[in-house]
Amino acid sequence: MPILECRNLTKHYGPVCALDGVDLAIEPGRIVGLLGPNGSGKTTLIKLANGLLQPTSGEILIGGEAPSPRTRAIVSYLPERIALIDWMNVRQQLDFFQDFYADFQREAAEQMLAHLSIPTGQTVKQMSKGTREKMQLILVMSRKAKLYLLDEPIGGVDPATRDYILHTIISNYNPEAAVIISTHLIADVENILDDVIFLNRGKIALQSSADEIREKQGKSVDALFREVFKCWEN
Amino acid sequence: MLGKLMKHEFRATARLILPLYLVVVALAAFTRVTNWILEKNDNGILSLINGLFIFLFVVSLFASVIFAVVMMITRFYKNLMTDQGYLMFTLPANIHELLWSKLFVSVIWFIGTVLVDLLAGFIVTYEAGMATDLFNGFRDLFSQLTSYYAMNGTAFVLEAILAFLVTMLTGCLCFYAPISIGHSFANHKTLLSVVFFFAIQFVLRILNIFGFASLAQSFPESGPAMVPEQIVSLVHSAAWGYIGYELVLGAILYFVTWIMLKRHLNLQ
Repeated sequence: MPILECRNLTKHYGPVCALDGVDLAIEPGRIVGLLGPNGSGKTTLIKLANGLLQPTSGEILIGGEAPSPRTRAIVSYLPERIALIDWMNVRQQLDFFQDFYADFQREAAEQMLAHLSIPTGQTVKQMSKGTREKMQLILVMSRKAKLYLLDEPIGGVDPATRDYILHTIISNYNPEAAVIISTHLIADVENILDDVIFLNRGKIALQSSADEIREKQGKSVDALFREVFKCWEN
Repeated sequence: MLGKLMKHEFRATARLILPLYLVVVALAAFTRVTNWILEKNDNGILSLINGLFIFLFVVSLFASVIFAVVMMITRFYKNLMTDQGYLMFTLPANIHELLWSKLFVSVIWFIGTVLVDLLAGFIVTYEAGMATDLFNGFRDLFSQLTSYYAMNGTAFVLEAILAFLVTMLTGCLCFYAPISIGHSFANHKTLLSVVFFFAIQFVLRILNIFGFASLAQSFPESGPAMVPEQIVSLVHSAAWGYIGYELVLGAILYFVTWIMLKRHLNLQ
């Protein structure tokens, strides 16, 4: 059974159509790149999967169920923005995740934090932007979830942090789970992707395995992306 | 899940309000001590200090109440409507649990604030035998109410407590509902929250005016000549009418808040 399934999923914001009849199914054990330019509907799709938005029509299912507290218990979500509670220190953040998520592996999180030399008494307010990004990623990846939804995990960070983030993702995710990475920075993530989905103006422009693109089209995912989403003609 | 949410809600709020409670009690103690010294040894500087402590003490009483209300509003706004909302709304908890955790904890702090302010007032005005006098005073009041007005004192106190609790809950929802409506829009969320707050208050005031007018019309014409039993029965009816009104209003505002968060949540 797919861990994430969309059936004719449509979302309108007033007159604006953010997703238009999207059909897709993502199986466990795959790392999927949800790729598209800004405004293509990536974040909307991820918010719908988390129940942060409601579809205008169609449905989105997590393990066969509509988003609910039960599905949120198996989904680990990294939002595009820093959603940590700013007055809490590292230890309190770990307590918070441990309290609410049965699949949270505190030891793994503590090891990663120690590796980065982040003091447990430091509050989120006292952290730099990069440290906050890493902290949030560590909390999300320390869960043994069935579906990881990572919205722009490498957007707005320096190349070294980008490498750290990608390394953390591939070395910590539950191999039986599916990982969906939404980004427009294709070149950075291309090597870790099993499958890619191109979203364009709310519609799926392409769904394929990364290897298939390289073998059949003889191009990298990044090159194909640039071709599909070309902004002007020469 | 509600218990866990409340635990973290207490953690987030206690760190802010408990120090304020300490300040209120400390100011009450300082005021009491300077009062006491002044009784023994009157002098100008001491009077000035005592006056300053009395002023600060009164300010702290008002500040604690205002702070409890402001904290209730900002907790809801910041924890659910800003970036923290991404964390809170993706917890394995439903909207009802998120809402009730905030409502319960806010009401508990309101009660705490009233108790701390009463304690502070007691510290400032304490005299030997005052507690016994107060207790006896209440007991006499109860027995007189029961014997002369045939009033069930216990029922009256229970009605008053219930009315207080329901008013507190509905009071919170009077802020939660407009904030959740205002934040369902794409832009000007805070401004729209304020606009909806005043719009709701305006509608409520209009309803209150009509409500009181119809109540006044239904008031027995023999009002001034009513026997005590009739007055007591009217007081009970009025109390239950008020509780019922607040419950209905609270239920409507709760439903509005819930539906906005469930169906129209629009985090930036």
